[in-house]
Amino acid sequence: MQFFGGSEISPSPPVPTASGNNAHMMYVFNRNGVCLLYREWNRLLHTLNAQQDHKLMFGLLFSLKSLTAKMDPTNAEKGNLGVPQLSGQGCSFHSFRTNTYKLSFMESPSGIKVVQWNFLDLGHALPSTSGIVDLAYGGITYMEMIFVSNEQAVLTQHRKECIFVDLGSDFILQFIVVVWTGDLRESLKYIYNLYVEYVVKNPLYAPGTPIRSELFNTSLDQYSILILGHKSTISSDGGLFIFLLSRHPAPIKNVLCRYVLLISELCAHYFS
Amino acid sequence: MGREVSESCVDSLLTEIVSTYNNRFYANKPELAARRIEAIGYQVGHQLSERYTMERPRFSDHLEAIKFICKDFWSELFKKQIDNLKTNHRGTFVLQDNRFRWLSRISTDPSVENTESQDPSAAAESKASLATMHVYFPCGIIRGALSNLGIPCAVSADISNLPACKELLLSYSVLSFYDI
Repeated sequence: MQFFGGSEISPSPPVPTASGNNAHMMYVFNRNGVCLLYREWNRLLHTLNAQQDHKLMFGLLFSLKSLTAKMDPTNAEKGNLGVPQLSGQGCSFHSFRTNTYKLSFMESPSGIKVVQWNFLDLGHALPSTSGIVDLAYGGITYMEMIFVSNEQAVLTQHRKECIFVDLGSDFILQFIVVVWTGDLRESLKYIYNLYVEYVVKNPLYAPGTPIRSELFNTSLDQYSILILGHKSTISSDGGLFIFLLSRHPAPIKNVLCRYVLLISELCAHYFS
Repeated sequence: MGREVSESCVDSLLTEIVSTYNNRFYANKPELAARRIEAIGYQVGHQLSERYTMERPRFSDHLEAIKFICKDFWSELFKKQIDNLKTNHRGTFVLQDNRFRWLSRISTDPSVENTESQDPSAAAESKASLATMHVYFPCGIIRGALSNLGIPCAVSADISNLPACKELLLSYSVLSFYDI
């Protein structure tokens, strides 16, 4: 158990205009860089137009792959950096994560690349839920994260669950369970199977053209609902976060002393 | 039955047959391409019916032969039986398969369907017109199988609701289309 205690007073976070919750994007490229499929759910920011976006994405994947292949310590012979590699040769990265999103990647031996972006919205969850709290309780001016857990025992059926506990005298405890996306390679393999079933075997499909298949779209939608909505197997990337919100800009230490018992009881109850 | 072939290979082969005959051998002559494909199916059906009726006694009448097609022959080829069989007792039979295996993956552009018209039947028709070439081969197979069992006939297919497929068999009579 870690306690983050801070004596500085953090200003109230601004109320966001839109929440970045559950933003999700998917790309499928073929070996020549043609973007066969691009789907998005709840994407907030479109910085480039579609064409440039796809080219940028493909370039990123290509560069990362060649970089990881070149840096591979287990492989004796490597080509020069930038030399295109066969699909199975060398090692290939399969995901990277920043503080706002996680990108998962899978490449098939035929050069079909499936990419999935998942937005980790803890940073965004904070302002958005405080907006809700503000509405309910009014006038939140102080917020501090007091507990972070990385236990694998935090398993819920929901992607993010938020509980408010009113401690009285203007303090509110907010529990947020955030499930970060784990290893998505199985999911990408499933999507690749869908591609083979409904696109490759479709007699009306011309290889190398963008995918326009209703069957593929509906099966992909169904699968997305399944993985975006409920995730019953969670990797160790889960977290329980407890925030203390207050209407007064008071230092937190007094509150901690009074409520540490309550907090530990609640944690024990949640983990069991 | 001895050796087996992967189903994906058969699917790819059928797709390629249609594509090659339409685009390379008989480009701009869809009628000819259709007839050639159907002739290939006729050969295949002829030989398949020999194999699948090896241990059976001779069929007593036409209905028995058609029932063999609907049950055993269809399950050997498509792993399921025909869902519905209708006849007018005057030589016309309609076989209905609600999920025809070789057409089950055909799918068209959804955005085109949305913009064109609000009429769902029009969208289904355009999809069907794209898929008609793919249906000549199975028709040929049925025709070949039946003629080997002693029933000369003509077979045509109606695919207005994909993936359902209705085959129409007419024994020694003039072609006429039957719309259900």
